[in-house]
Amino acid sequence: MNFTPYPLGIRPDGQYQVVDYERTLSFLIRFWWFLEPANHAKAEAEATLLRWMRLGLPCRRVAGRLLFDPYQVINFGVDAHLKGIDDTFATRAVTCCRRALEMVVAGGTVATYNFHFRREFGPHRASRLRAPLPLAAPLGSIEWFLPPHGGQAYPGRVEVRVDSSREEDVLDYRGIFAVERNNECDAIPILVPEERVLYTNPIEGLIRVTPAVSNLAADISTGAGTDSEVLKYLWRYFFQKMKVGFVHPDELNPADPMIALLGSGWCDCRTGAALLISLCRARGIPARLVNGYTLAPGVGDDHYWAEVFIHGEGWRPIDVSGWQLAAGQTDDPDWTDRLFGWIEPRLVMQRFPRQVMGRPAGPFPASYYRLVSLCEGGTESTFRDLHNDRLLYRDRFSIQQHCETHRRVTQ
Amino acid sequence: MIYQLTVPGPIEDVEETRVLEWHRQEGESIVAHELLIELETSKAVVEIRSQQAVFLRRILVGEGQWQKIGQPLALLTDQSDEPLPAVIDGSYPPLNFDFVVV
Repeated sequence: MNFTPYPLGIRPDGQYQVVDYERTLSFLIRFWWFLEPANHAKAEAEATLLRWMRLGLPCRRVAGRLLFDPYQVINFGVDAHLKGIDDTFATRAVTCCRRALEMVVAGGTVATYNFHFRREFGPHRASRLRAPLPLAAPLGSIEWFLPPHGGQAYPGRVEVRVDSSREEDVLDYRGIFAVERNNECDAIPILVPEERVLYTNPIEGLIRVTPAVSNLAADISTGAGTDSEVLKYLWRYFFQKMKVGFVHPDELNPADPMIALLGSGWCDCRTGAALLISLCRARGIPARLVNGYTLAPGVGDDHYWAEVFIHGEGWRPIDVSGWQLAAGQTDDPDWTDRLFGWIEPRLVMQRFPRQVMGRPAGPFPASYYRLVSLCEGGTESTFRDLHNDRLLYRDRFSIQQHCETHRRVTQ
Repeated sequence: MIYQLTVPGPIEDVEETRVLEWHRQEGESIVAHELLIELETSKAVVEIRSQQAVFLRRILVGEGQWQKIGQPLALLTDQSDEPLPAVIDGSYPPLNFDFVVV
């Protein structure tokens, strides 16, 4: 691979160092201290950020203000842990993520989640505004409630036409998701030829089966006999090669984004899933990208993972955030393979490439940044144009969980 | 004459398009330059308007469904009663249209 990796997987010119100290702290707290009491979280996060600055965390000083790239901050913390110079990633991020997962799977056999989704749009020239709606759950039931004049529901999205009569560009709905845990589908799905073609397509967004990807996948899976074995080899390779943090998609080489990703050694949930999917498709194994919300009470968040089709087993979920749960360790008996072939109950919003919401509003800029913070009962994600700071949209997703036993979930 | 509505390719990084909304129904007349259909790709929403007056005779791809670039979305005719073939082979001349990216 002829590629010069960026330090921490982020371009060193600092183009994304635009976020002030307080919002950077909020970002850090959301991902590493999200289950801690607020005052304690802020105190620790502040001390950590200052410590990292002394260790060399990149930032800019503009007119007396410190500006950071929150993605770079997170990656710095992960990298510092892997180099053995700071253990906050292990003691905070990994610990919080493990606790969150166990909160979702603990409790009774039947779990009910009340969720609230709100999307506020910034200035735009779009004719349609959209927010995601959950797809049907095979092991549970979902209901959602749109307010009057709150838009039209389509599979996977709620949509409004933009006209002068709307007072504000907000899409807002609530819902109930009930799922029976520890249950599995009895029937193993069969992939029809059209689906096999669809899910082995060599080009789909970031998913690219280039000659370099094909050669790499063949090298990795040397010696593997079945598709299941190939998948395991690819998973092991991912753990050995990649670090899971954050990536700015526009910094990937568009001609071969997956090789660029491998060259940098960093990925996030979406690009990491795209990488695994690309490698699977290179071996003729159907795989697809899935988007949805995790359901850790009070901290549910937008997330991406992969589903891989194994003959005789059906669609198996593979989530690269398992790397975080294992703190990057390839031999942790409890965590390394925790999200390999299994995930906890989640709200599925999109299955690419067909069950998709589409563009939320008008054209989305290639360069944007994302702010994330805790809000009441959940997570707030704000997307802004990098070059002019224009608000693209702001999402709030909040989740509450109720558990009980014995009640049978009807579909 | 029979025409087929087709989004011509190639379009960089786009293989399929989703039908968002038909603004006319089968059997209805289409006035030149009126909105016929809204399509969506991974990159844009596109409004399509016929450059000529025609009749929308058969919708081949319904709302919410996907079609590959270069494959027909609908058949249209100059006359309302022009016989349509039983089998669609995609060989009809393309309908000339204007499009706007919104």
